[in-house]
Amino acid sequence: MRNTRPVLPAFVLPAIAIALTLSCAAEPLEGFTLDIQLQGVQLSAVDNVRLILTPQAMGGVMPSFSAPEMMSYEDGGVALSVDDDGQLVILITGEYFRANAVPTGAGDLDPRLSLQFWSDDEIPRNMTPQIRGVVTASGFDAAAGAAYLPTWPLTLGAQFTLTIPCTAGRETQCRPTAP
Amino acid sequence: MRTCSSLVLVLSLLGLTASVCAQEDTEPDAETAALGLAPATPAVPPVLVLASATDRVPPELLDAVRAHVGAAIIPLAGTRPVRTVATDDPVSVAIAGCGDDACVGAAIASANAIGAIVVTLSRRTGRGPIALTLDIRDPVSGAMRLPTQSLGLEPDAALSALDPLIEALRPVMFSPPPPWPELLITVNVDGATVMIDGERVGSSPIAATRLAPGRHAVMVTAVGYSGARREVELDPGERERLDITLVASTAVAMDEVIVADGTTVSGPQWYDAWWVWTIVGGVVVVGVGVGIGVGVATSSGPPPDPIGIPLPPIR
Repeated sequence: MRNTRPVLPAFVLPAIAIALTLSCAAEPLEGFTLDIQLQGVQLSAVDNVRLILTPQAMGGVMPSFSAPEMMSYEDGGVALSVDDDGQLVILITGEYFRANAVPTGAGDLDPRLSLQFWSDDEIPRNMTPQIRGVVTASGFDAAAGAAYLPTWPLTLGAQFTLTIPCTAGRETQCRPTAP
Repeated sequence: MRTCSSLVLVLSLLGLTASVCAQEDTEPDAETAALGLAPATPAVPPVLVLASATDRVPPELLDAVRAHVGAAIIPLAGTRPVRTVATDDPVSVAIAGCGDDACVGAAIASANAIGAIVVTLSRRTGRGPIALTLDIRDPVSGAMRLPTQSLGLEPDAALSALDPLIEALRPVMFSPPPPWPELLITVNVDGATVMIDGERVGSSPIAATRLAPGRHAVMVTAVGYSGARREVELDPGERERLDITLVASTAVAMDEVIVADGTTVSGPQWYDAWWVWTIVGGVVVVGVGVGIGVGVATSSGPPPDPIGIPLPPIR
């Protein structure tokens, strides 16, 4: 009996691990992380940020996002809608952006906001949707940037950065209080 | 021991085979010497050893010496051996491999001799005097009892000088060496492991042990008892008694002991306590129950949505 006792942890520890694994199995998965990186824009100048997702044409057919009505999340800080062209518009309010973005430059310059998304679209697309970001600052569309999403449907756990630089000639609106 | 460069002449006075040294630094097979245990009591007369360290000694002289005392002549590593006598005598082999006094002494003792006279014949040049050197060696220790006596003799006088020299040494030879000390160890627990100088010598009760003079460390251990360690200083001829009382150890204080068969047994550990495994078992049961419960509960419904804002599909 004495010699068998040290062996017992070999059975006990796996049992605990299995129990913990079972208990943790219901945890939701991480979504797709989209980092919205503004360049040359002051955080305080942001009125709102719009993300426009445009499906790409396949076989001459222009697909569209299906969303019958507007949806809002984050206590209204993020709103989703589909426009008449079938584009998905994600509107991030200035209040939400300013409250959650983190400046990466001097002062409140170059803010970055991370958002997580997911899609249960079951049809993979070789031509992934284009995503355009437009920043309204000081009453003008002062910054814009575009890219293509890396995958569609979005890969859970993946990360992508959309860079939105200040548009040339809009420096005054992008950085109204900059010295 | 003296270095023998070319040949060694071994001589036995009393019909015993003898042999001699070589100059290798190898140790003899002497487990008893390594342990410091004494050999059996000497029961036969001593061995007389005659050795020659050079091959420049005239063969005629060696022949004469051999005839005079009935010696065997064994050349070892010699360039020009004068005589070759094969021998399978283990004593010869033992002495031939000796490189120090202790080795020589152990070899002498293994021949049941109480000592030896080592006579060395050497000659620097082919025409120079014969150097005759005599040592008296103790058994076991191999140490010289008397200062070395050396004579420079002409070859004709060497043989005639040998007898009186040997006869003069005989009284010293036959005086018995001091007896080995004995140590009697008693333990209040039968079956306890008794170790002397790190070597296991037996389990209690144990007979008196003969040891080499000097300091020895005695260690006694027994299952369920705290081990005891003592040091004892033994003089030649001394009979010492060492009474050791082992104290029963508590279950927690007991550490690790070596039982009689040499296996190591650990004492009670934290995991020997019953309540430890009761707690562990309870935690496991609760953990498994919660895990299974949660798993079943969550597996019955749809999988949870990922973290983040859901995006509509493309149509």
